[in-house]
Amino acid sequence: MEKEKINPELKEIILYRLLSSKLPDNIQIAIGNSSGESMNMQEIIEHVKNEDETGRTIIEMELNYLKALKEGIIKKIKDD
Amino acid sequence: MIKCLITRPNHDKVTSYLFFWSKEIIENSQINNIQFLDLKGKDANKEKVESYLKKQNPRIVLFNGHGSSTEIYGFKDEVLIKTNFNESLLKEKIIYSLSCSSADILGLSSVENGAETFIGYKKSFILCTDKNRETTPLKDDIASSFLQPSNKLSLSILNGDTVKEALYKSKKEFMREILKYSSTQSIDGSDRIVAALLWNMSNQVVLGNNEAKIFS
Repeated sequence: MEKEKINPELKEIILYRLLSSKLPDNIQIAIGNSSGESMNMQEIIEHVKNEDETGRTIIEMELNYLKALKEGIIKKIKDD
Repeated sequence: MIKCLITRPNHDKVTSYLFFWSKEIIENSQINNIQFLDLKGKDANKEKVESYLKKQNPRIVLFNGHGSSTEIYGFKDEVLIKTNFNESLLKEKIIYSLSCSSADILGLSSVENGAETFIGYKKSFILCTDKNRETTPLKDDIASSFLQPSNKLSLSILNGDTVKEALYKSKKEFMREILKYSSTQSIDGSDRIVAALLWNMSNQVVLGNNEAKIFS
């Protein structure tokens, strides 16, 4: 099945957010269905640029967050 | 005595974190009248899981490890439970799967094949960790924010709450962590952590009977 095309503008926004992130280098992110190893911000950015499975998950996660910000995180939490 | 089967592979960093954090459930002093069938490390394999499910008939199963929309994995990612293959072994049980995406297809299929309740994640479970704490996962405060809400769910069910009550307590714990990292006094770049916590919370679902509990 062909993968859904990611909107280039949304991808740019996500990349900008990740590139400007001030998350300390010691904090890493692991996505449970991938290799089981953790990634730093630079590795995450590469996955997003490549739009691979990990990158797509990160994009989806960031869009979920932006949507929650728009709707109000507290409302999002209460709805869940 | 209620039996609880728990799988705890530990072959990579993520599974090692789950291994240590799920031990907190087994050793919790508030849990009574539960016999844990602990398949840890290389014992978290298909042969033993199937055997325990058939012969020991646990009321509740806690899976820890990697997963996909159709499978739950054990040690070195051996398939333990697979859609359209052996999910009928979960019949009449309460299942909590702390593994990626397994609530998607496998969860539905398990409930259709007789599982009473399947709790899991529709999409990937994301875990943030502190590189400086990798050798002592239980002292990793960042990972704690992700794994305490999960443990809350297991402990609540094991203490006799309904699945619905357990889910509420788990989400409340996620919420507490999200609000902690949303404060201005939190660490730099904490919005990445908030995004990941929100993601896990949004994807945590119950399929089947949400009034189920382990004690009748």
